[in-house]
Amino acid sequence: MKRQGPVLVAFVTGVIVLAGYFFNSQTVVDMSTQIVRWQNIVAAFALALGGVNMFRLHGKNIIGRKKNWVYSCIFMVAFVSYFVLGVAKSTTSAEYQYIWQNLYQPAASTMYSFTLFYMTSACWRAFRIRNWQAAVLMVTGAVVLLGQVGIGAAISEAIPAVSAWIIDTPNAAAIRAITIGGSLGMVVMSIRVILGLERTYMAGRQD
Amino acid sequence: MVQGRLASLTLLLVLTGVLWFSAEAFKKTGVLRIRRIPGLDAIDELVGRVTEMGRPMAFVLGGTALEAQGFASMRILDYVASQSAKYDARLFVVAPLPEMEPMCQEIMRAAYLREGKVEEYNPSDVLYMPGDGSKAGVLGLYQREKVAGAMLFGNYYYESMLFAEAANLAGASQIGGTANYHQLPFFVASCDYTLISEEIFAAGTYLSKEPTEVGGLTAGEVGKALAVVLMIIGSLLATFGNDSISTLLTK
Repeated sequence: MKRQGPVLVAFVTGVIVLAGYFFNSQTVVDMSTQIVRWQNIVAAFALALGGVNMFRLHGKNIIGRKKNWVYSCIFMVAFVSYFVLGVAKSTTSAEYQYIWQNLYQPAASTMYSFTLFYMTSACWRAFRIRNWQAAVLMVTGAVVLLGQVGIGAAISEAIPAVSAWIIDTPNAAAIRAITIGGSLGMVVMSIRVILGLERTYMAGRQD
Repeated sequence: MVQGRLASLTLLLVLTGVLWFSAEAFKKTGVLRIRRIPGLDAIDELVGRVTEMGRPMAFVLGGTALEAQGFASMRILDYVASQSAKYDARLFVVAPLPEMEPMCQEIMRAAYLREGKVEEYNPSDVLYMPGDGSKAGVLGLYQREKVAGAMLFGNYYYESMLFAEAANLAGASQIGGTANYHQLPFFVASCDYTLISEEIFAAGTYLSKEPTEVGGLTAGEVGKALAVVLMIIGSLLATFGNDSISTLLTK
């Protein structure tokens, strides 16, 4: 029953949501809409579970004085104080928003900006000409990059045109091939989950 | 029936039928021909490498919502966890979604149980790192634990570049895989092996060769063949001013 229960729930809800997508019946559409709403509620419970797990993990670190337990203390203080502030004064309050805008957002933006530096180092390796495929990649990349900036057109009018052709023709063809393959894979995986054939997520191998 | 969705429903039913029949056929014949996927062959190499070096590896799942790529990635995790348990390689798993964390815990525990080493399983090795916090968390994990191998699978966005390149700088061998075409160039540039799009969905079949997995792979291939045939016929007909294929698909 531990395994059959979730499989049955996945099957029934999956079939109803699919039916709501394909058919006009108001009853089915209403049921489908309701299930999608429930999904948000279940996800909120999962979020709470995630919070509890983090609390438990860091709590164990502190109690056991494990490696880097001081960071666990910082987590606990930040977690509890921000949670209490959000509940007591609401998440739209000036204090809550101040911390969000001036502490979290700059940190998140900093992480995002790392991408530029990592992208540069990755390009450096990827564009090294070790074989003819890497040479094609390097030349194509250079043309597309030059085609996106003013200096490309200043060097030659052909560069933006070739760049646009690369993006619109071979690049678009490859993207669509990848998208079709990936989408079919997603459809089949979803069918397997709905039919209860995919059970890895419940630590159960297939029959 | 909602206008324009008849073709989708037909395709769904055809794929379900193909999945079922090919799974049954495989049960009888046991014959499966599948091309080599170097990225999946490299999993064993990677586990061997981290074991020899005595350093851990990280399996980082991508995702902003639990969907098909997440399930496919957990299928790969199941295999990686078994191999890690078998060879006593330490494996850190990073789950970006709260609902993924208990699933990963169960998969890891079951893998250690299968290998008869359940007492060696450490639940703290499955880390829940949500949202933007996961970026700093994963980068810190690579540096602190000096990971020798990293596997990045799932629905990745810009973090693909951060995680892959940071692992590379930490000296880790890497395997990446996603069906998000916009992140594939980053994995190709930074990882030693990349699973492209549907290859992550084929991973289950490749690694386990179980009947329903084979059925799923066959259904995907039939769908692709059908798409190619429709494109060729549709292009030819459209060239001569006949739009019957596009009309049929929008019914």
